[in-house]
Amino acid sequence: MLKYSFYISFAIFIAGLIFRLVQWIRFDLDKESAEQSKVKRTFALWESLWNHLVSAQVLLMLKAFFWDGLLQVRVLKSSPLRWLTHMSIFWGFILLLLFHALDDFISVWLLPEYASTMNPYMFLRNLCGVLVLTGIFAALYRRRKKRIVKHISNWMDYSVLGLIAAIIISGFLVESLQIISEKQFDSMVTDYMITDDESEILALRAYWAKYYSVVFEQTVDTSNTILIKTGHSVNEDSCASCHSRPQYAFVSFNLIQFFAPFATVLNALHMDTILLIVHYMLCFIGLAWLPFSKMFHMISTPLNYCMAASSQESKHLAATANGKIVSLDACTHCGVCSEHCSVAPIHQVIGNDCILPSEKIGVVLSMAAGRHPIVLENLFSGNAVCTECNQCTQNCPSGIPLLDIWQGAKRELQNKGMYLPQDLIKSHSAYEWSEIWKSQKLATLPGQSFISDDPQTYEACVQCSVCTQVCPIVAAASNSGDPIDVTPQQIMNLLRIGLKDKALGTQMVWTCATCYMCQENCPQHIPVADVFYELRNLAHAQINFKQTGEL
Amino acid sequence: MQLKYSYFPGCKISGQRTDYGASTQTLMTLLGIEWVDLQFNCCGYPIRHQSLEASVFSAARNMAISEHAHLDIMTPCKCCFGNLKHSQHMLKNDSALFKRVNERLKEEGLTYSGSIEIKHILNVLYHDVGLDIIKTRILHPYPSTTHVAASYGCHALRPSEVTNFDHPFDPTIFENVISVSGAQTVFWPKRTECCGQPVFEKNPSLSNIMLQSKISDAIEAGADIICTACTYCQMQYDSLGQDQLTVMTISQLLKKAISGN
Repeated sequence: MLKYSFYISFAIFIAGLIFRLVQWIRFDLDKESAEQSKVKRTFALWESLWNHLVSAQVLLMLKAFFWDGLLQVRVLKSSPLRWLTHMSIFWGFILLLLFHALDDFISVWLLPEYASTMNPYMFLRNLCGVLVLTGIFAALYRRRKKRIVKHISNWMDYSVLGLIAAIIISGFLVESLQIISEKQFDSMVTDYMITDDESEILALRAYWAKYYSVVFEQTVDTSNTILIKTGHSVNEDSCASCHSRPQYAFVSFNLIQFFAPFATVLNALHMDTILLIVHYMLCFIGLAWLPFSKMFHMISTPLNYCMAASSQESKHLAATANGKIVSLDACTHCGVCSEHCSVAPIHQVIGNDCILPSEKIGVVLSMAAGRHPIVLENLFSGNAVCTECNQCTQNCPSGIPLLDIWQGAKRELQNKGMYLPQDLIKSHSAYEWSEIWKSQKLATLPGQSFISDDPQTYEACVQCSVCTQVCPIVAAASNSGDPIDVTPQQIMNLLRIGLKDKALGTQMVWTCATCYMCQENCPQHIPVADVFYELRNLAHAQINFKQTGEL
Repeated sequence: MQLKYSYFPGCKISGQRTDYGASTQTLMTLLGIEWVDLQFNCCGYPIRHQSLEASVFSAARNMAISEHAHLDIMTPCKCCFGNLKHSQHMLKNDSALFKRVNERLKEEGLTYSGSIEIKHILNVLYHDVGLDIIKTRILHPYPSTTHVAASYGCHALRPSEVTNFDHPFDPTIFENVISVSGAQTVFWPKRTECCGQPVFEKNPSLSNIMLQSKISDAIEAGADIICTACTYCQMQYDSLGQDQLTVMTISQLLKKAISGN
């Protein structure tokens, strides 16, 4: 059964790899990518894989692979603690995979007198397991403790950590149950004992009960020194060449004390065999799931490093198109970008997850896949908040050119017919906007108090028009031959007579340069520019309130 | 007294105009000003159109971080300066807002009390370092035939009751700092007007008209150089104005007068 399970999971793994490779060709991040023919892109991907994995630029690639892939220097630069966490999980798991899971193919050939039941291999295997579990614990702690990382962590992040932890824990349990198992002892005796002298076997039982922690159903006399002595010599002849004492497997050995009281029941239930199957199955699930989960970054992230380090992808358009999708796939959802994001506090107030780079990237990928969900509107408005400070790119441990992606996505979504509020507002006159908004519920800005609603704000206005005379927008607009629709002084008047809805969509309010000339020069100290800010806040809420598609 | 600040470069410097940031840091080093880099976020200026609440919170978080380090904030950008000052003003006068902001900050273990000062680099040069000290460091003064037009930048000057930067109609601080370099300053009527950058994206042609009217005003006044003290202003001049006359930031100007390059 195990064999077939392995074949099935391996087949799914290979199918998944092909599926992801095809996505690299199939998805178009932008118009330029879409213009490249799929045939060209297939060849380009083949060429990239060939170049990066096999030939020409092999030295450059090796450097990127060792430095960024194996030593993960970029993670170290971004945070030493996170590097330690990731290195523990990565190296602990890789070593277990190579020397434990694949021991028949690797350890047996590489290591002198290798046997999985010999020291130092028992110790090293336990050490690797502890490393992985410590790393997982640290990663979980980080995901629960840091505000932004906690917010973005999703079921994928937790279930991958959970699966790896489950593989390691089940491994420890299998080992400790095998140590105490009488059945294991009996089958080994049948297979490897040279004699079948009952008294020698009895002596060996006593010796193994005492020094190898096997728990026998029938109590064995371990205080009989003669018996133990005989057991010792039998052990030396038949067992010791392949079996070290179990305490070297320091985790599994210490787990025994929890199982010892129920040992006979566990042995009778074949618990060690059941757990071994569970252990195998979890590994197979991991293998099959790898290409579909975030674990795929084990392949995509090093490839992204290599592609970024080579000149190939920047020269060749089809390869560039593939490279963009590979770079999206290189995301490990670690959340470092969002931790460094300059506008993350704005997300805390406004609440659109598409403000955070770690969340935007997934939506950009679904945009590249050609899906056009409502979430793209969130992406567009969240992306509009970005100040292009480039912190995300500079801190990304996977080396993804994030800022380029955001700028590209902005253009793409505009090509798809989405408008920023400042552009959308130009599609109607202020009067038309007031008619449109009349029929809908008014958006509210909870908590904010409004000076524009307070009659005292404009009470002192004498319509002297100083605000209009000093306004550089009014002056520039009349110089351009396209005078502004309503002047600042007229807006003050609209508000004064209670026609706030007619002011919200005016070009004056939306083109305001916020230079505060009006406010500074007003002889009556009316906060003209502050009122304009407030009107834009309200109009923004009103525009975002109604989905753009409905206009 | 040792001068020490938390250095607030602003998003545009850290993202695109790293050269402005580099010259500011060099100038600070040359003048013996100490600074620390803290994990700052956006000052809140760009989002203020959309949400005042988010803008104030964003600014407050920066100020809370700097409060925690017991340092005043120093920024070379007037839009950052203006928004931090504006948020400080709002928080001082709106107790409900103050409470909401602090509740949000508490999620990260931060608090804002309003105990630190926000300073623009011109404040620091003029008030804290002192022109006499700077004068002693000028080893490569500009010839007095060089005429410099100081472009003030709106958000530091106005609203003056919030920013307390200088006299809103007759400011002198920028010209005084420039004079130390040996160059002559010129008076030009549009020196306190908007450069047009805030409408650059919304209405590029209008933005260009505003910029051109400033540049011709400076040229008419006899300027060889326009000097800025704001990242946004500098970006605006860079985008359109550099072939008509030289435009540089105050840190680039002083750095040259001190170190010769």
